[in-house]
Amino acid sequence: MESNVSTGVVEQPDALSRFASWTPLAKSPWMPRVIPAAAFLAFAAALYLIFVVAPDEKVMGAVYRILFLHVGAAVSTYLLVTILLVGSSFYLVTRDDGWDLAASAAGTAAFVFATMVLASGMIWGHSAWNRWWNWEPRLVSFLVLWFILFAYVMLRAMFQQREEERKFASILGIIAAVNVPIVIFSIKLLTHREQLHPEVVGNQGLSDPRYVYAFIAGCTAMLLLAVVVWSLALGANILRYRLAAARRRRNI
Amino acid sequence: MKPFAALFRKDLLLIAKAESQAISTVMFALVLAAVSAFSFRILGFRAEDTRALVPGILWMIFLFVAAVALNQSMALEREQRAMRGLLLSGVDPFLVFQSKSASIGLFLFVVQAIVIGGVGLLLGVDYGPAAPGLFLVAALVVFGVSSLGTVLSAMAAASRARELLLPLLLFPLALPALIAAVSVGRSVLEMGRIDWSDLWLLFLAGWAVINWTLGWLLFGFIEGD
Repeated sequence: MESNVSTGVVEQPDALSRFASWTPLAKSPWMPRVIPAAAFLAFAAALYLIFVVAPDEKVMGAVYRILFLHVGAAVSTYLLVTILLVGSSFYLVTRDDGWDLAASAAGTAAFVFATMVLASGMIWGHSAWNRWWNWEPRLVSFLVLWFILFAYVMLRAMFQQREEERKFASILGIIAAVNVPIVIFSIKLLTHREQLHPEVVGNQGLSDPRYVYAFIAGCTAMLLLAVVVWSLALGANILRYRLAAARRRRNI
Repeated sequence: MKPFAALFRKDLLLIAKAESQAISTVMFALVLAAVSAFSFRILGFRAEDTRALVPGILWMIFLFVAAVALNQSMALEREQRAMRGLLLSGVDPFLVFQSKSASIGLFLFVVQAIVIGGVGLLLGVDYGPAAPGLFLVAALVVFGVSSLGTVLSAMAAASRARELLLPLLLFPLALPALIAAVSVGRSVLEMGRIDWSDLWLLFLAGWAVINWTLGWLLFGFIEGD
């Protein structure tokens, strides 16, 4: 511990060390090399299965193929929101900044993936319902989730003190993540008359095994992409954190 | 119970002392009711048609008023860092949260009662036997929103753009309650009584309890380190 006399701030030489030793980001080749490579291969396989192997659908023709990536992006958003919840909770309990950096990266990435879900859903909806936007429960629940994640990203930009930003973002991260299932459930409660979203998997709609392969490949590729985006954002956050710490030490 | 009573009294006094703000909040609610009356009545909706719009109008006005009232109450606390001082004195943060959300909830309930009356008057809707049901829904929504809003506004008050940040945080998170309240309100107005087997009523109560629990668990982290 060295004390910074002019600002009175007590510097921790490597406040991230506990977290950095836990995360595979620091030295192992997994995060920077193996997972991106796996994601690349999974995407190549998914694109081949989706566009070449899977046959056209009877009613919608080729357009339905966006579904394979759309569902993958939705599952990835939920995964990232889970990371957001875990990171925020652990930050509040341990006050280890690394957890907050992980949660922050997950929040930003979740916003990006929720945007993808909305965009792909709207493109699909345009060809299925001939409208860009339909007040369809599933679409609405993702719109609400998108607003909540946007609020999280905005909150992080609105505080001058880093400490405050971390604390408040973690609190909001927990509130947001707990409310996500409630939002989804509330919209599911709406009468079935208003449900236009297809229940493909639930209704055993993927009869042809080629659809199943494409579906699994699309979801896997998107999940791996989510991990890559998250780890890239986390890496950027760690660099930014170390830069700020170095600046404080040198009084810049 | 004694510290809670003292805190609750302090928070109510804070609202009462800033009487011009309290009155302005009520007036703001009435202006919103008048604006919705202008938007929907003047355009040729008859009283029977506007009846279907009333639940939506009621809870939309409520969200706007809640955002303004929550911002006001936390700005007062923030000015002299009063809440931090209070917590440093060793009071249980849970009690501070409780009294803050209870006092703002009481205020919001009074305002919402005025809104229910004002909207009925201006839109020419006679609630009849449905009125108690609407007040019950109001009580549940107020309970949840004041718990959630107390935490969110305490955070927003510390930011550079609190007027913008609080609605941005509060509205999407309060949407499930809005959907449920509109739904229950609609069935209450249609049937003229509360349907106790309505799933939305249960959902609304559950939502309020979950957000109260979150507030209770998380409020201590806001000012404490």
